[in-house]
Amino acid sequence: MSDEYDDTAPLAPEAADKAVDPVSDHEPAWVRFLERGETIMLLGGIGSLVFSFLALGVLPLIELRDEVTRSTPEQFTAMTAKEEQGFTVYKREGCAYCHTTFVRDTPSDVRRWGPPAEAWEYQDQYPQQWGTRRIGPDLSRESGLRSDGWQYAHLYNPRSTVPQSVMPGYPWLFSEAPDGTVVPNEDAEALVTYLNYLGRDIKVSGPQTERGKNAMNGDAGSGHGGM
Amino acid sequence: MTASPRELDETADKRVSAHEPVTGIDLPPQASEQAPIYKDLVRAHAVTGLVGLLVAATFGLIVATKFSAPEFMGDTAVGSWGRMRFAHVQGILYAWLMNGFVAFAYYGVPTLSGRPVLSRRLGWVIFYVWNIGIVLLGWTFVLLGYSQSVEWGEFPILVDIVTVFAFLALGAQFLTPYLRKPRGRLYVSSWYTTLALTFSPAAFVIGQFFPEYLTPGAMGAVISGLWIHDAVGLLVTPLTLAIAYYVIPATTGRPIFSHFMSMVGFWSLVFFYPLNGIHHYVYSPIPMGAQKVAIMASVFMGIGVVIVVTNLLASLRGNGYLTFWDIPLRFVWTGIIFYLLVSLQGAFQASMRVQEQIHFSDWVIAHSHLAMAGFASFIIIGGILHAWPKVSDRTVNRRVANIAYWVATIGLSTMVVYLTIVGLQQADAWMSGAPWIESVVVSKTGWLVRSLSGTALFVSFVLLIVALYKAPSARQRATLDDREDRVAAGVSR
Repeated sequence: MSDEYDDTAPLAPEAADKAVDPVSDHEPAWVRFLERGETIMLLGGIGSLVFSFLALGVLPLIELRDEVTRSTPEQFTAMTAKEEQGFTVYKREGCAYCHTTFVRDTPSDVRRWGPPAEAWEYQDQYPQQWGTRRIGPDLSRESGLRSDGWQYAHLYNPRSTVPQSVMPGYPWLFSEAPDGTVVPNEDAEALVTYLNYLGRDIKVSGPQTERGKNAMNGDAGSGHGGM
Repeated sequence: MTASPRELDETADKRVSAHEPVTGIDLPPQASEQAPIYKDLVRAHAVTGLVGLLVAATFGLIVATKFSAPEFMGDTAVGSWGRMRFAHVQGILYAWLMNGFVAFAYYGVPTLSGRPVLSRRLGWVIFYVWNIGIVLLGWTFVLLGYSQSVEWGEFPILVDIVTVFAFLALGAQFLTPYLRKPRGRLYVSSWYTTLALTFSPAAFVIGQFFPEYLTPGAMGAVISGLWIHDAVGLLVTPLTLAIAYYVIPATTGRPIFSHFMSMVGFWSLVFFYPLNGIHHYVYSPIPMGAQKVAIMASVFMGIGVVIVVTNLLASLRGNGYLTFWDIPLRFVWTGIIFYLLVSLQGAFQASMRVQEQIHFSDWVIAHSHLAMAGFASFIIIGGILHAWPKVSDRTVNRRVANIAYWVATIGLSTMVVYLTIVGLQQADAWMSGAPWIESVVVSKTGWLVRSLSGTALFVSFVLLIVALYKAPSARQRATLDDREDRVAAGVSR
């Protein structure tokens, strides 16, 4: 029906009445300009997208790139193939939806987990897994905290190591050996390797930025003003 | 059905005409023969959306249940917490909200523009591509473990590519009528629809592909933050407000309260919402200047929302009683109240000293559910119920819809209140320096209440579908037919 619609036909009486309302035509030109579809598309849709992307996308990106170049310590190591595989498992199972991997520079975060997150630590993570919710604890300083055996037992059945935990078990990361014991499969090994990678470098190098050093001196969050 | 809104219109106009000119721009125009409404597309998207809502809500209920019974459905990867959570969030966005928006756009856009949408055939292509190529394919992929771990973008890259084209097709479908309009002015709802469909395709591309391939780590977080808020603020919010700005004057027959406030509200959304994103990563390595701009923009956004809400609620002046017996209007009204609450909460939670304590807690989950299940879903439901008698040979069962309203309102309020309490308890446990597990233990009652209140929401969604299957009485049918004669079109109010 619409495909044969005649573009030159006049508007229906009702629509035409509304369209050229005598009162509204007295409004200033700039009001009418702002109501045009073209204005809303160009200024509203595209204009605000470009503006926000430049102001809060590109500018912070440039600043972060410079900071990463400036502050990466020599102790920084890129992820190995196995750690990369563990990172893939971490992403696939949605670990980041309960565990953050960035320590904020607030007193309570720093007290609990150590040095706050620094941009250089994350420079080879696509896509980032910082997270927006903490049901379980932050994992970005997990390296060396627990034995591999603890990690495997916890992954297989979290309540075997933390009785009150609500974390799901991941039995499909394990297989049963011929003698009936449960052994981690390749994914579980990679995941635990990745967990031990998290925070390893900064634990050796220490914080590299003013912000991180201040936080470790007990001034966490003090540089932010009072917003 | 409200009795003859046109009569209300006339009496109201006489009452106020002396000091308050009724401008055409503030009242949705009538449908016309030149702008047919494709009722089958409205129905298809509305019903598919509601069914998708049931599925997405089921995923959500499974996620919630796992907090109280971690072993529940925990033996296989497919039923695991993480994958259910992916399917829940993406299902709500693509299966429910977007289908609802598109349904209402097929109803509202031709009326508002006086032009038909681009093509009915394209409409059906979009319908199938959207619901099979995005929703079903995306769900299948994430449940099987092929996902993209970007919040609000968990469907894998392959599905993202389909989504880009679907967004562009939606733009062509609904922007063409506005651009082809030879004269006259665009109504407020049209501004919001135009904005969302222009902004979102590009924002989607940046949000999905940059963190995956171009910007690692902290740089990716900058982009992810922008996308999380753009999805909510520049896609869901404007399309929801477009429905609210339509349903209220269409039901009351009275124009929007203030054209000036409509404009200020709209343009404040345009310029402040897109700057909000980084407030998801405060106290992070992202440059402090960017964090502060995002926080300030959040506060300004809150002010803009107060203006929009005031304008919408004031548009009911003299007709507030209609919310008691017009159930679609009541859903919309309640959604607007939720919008006010959720936006003030958001502006408050964005500030640094508050974030320091409560960020990462369940109070934020309360916020997201108040926004999506409260603001967006209530208004979409109101829009669908409002349009339903005019696009189908059925009507809305008022009694069932009324029960659904109360079950949904009480269920959601309970969920939000309890998650707020739980969030504050968690924040308290974290700040006290107690062992981490303390914050889990104190949450368990609240998590159980969340599952129960979520069940109530699910029940109300089932009731809504039931409410759409009532055959109209002879009298209702006659009223509709009569009005259709009067406007000589497929739709009337």
